Amino acid sequence: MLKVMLFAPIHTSLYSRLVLHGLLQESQVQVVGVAVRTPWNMKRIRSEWKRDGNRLAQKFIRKYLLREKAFVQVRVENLVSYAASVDLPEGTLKDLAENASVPYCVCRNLSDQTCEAFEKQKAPDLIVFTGGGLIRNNILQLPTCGVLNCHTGVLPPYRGMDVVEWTALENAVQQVGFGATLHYMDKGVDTGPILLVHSIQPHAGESFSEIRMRLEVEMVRGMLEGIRGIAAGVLEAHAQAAQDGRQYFVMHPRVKKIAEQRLQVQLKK
Amino acid sequence: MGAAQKLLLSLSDSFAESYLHSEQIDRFIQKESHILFQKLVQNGVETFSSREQEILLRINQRMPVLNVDMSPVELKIEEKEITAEEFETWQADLEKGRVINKGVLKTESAVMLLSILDSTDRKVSEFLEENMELLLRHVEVKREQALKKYTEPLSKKAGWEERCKVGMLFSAFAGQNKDWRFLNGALKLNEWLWKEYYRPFSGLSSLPLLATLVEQEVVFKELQSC
Repeated sequence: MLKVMLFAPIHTSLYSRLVLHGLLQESQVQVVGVAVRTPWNMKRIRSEWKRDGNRLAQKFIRKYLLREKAFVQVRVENLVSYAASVDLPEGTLKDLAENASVPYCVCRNLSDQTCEAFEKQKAPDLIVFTGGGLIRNNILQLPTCGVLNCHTGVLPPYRGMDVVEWTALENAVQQVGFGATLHYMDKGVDTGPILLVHSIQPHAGESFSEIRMRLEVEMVRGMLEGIRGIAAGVLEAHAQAAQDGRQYFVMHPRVKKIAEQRLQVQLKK
Repeated sequence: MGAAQKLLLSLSDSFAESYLHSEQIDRFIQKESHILFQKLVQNGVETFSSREQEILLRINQRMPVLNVDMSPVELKIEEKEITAEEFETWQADLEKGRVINKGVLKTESAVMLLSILDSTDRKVSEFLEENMELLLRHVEVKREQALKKYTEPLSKKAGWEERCKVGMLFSAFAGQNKDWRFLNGALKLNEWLWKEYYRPFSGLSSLPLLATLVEQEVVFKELQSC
């Protein structure tokens, strides 16, 4: 039995709830704990505001206030339609954990002493990271198998932020494509050993946000498939070489406009 | 869809990212270059410091690409090249071979790295690439707080000018390597520099900002057409 702990960015995260719901159905997996970052931390709000600016306000409205309602009138498969297809119960991550008698821990950040003590006490074989900021070495080194993350892009070439947009900007849609990559986390940004890639075929006329929504579903599927594979001992990780990829950062709106134009040209081909 | 839901969605859309538009930059370039070249014609190039003359030369070389309408000015400025010896002396002084170490920028880094941009020496190219990645990561992570600590004490104005040169370096490197990541970094860095320039009583000179914005716009055009 593989002992798994889930790390989540916020108690309302639909992605985290779907992964936890999926894990609770797995016969070879025992969820030993859920650690969640509290959103009410001034330091976190300040640093995210500095990094994201207006994006944070958008994120707050869509993910915290609107939640599932933000997905109405969406024409592609998304986390809400997927949640309906797997009968995800309503409520927060805390409700889901409590109903399954899974220990639940709220911490200021996922590398703090509270979280570290919780992890040491529950001794998971594997940590499943579904967001929540940087993970420091003290946490990375504790689980025997490692810490899993699913990245919204194809690794190794596209590491970091906004990689869906960067793939289009660099005219790599045909060559590299769009996908979600499951990998172990290490000290670098998306540089750890790769377990699997779930690719999607983009359609003509699709926007970045629609591609992202479809990828979010693949992230859940990839995560669950990967954990199943690790539990069964049939999935092997492959190290990536540093020079096989580059790190990308948040895309400037002027560059994003070019990326949008290029995406449509590539999707028509 | 409920009214509250509609309201929240439109509120969320209203938070679309604000940024410095190309039209604003074009206007700035037109206005400032006009003032600058008028000053040049009236007072002569000698009234500018040698550092300013170098910037002038660079701007003048790039203006035709931006179709900036101005009377042609023939600049009789000797391009001062950094010698290999000067570069090596500066390089030997770097801690761990890094232009930025623990968030502290070695002064004159941008000028020195610009001087080796065309180098065909493999070791020099590797040094350049490694350090450009370090600079990019620093700027992207630290954002508005980036490049504010230097190995030698600099005045607020000199620090701002140093950052303008890094902006110019990012654009030039992006153009050279057809690497959008660095132009993306330059766009952000230049936007923060713009904000500082327009802060009341900033007392900053327009020349360094003009230089980095001209470089940015020239490279933007180049990469867009690739």
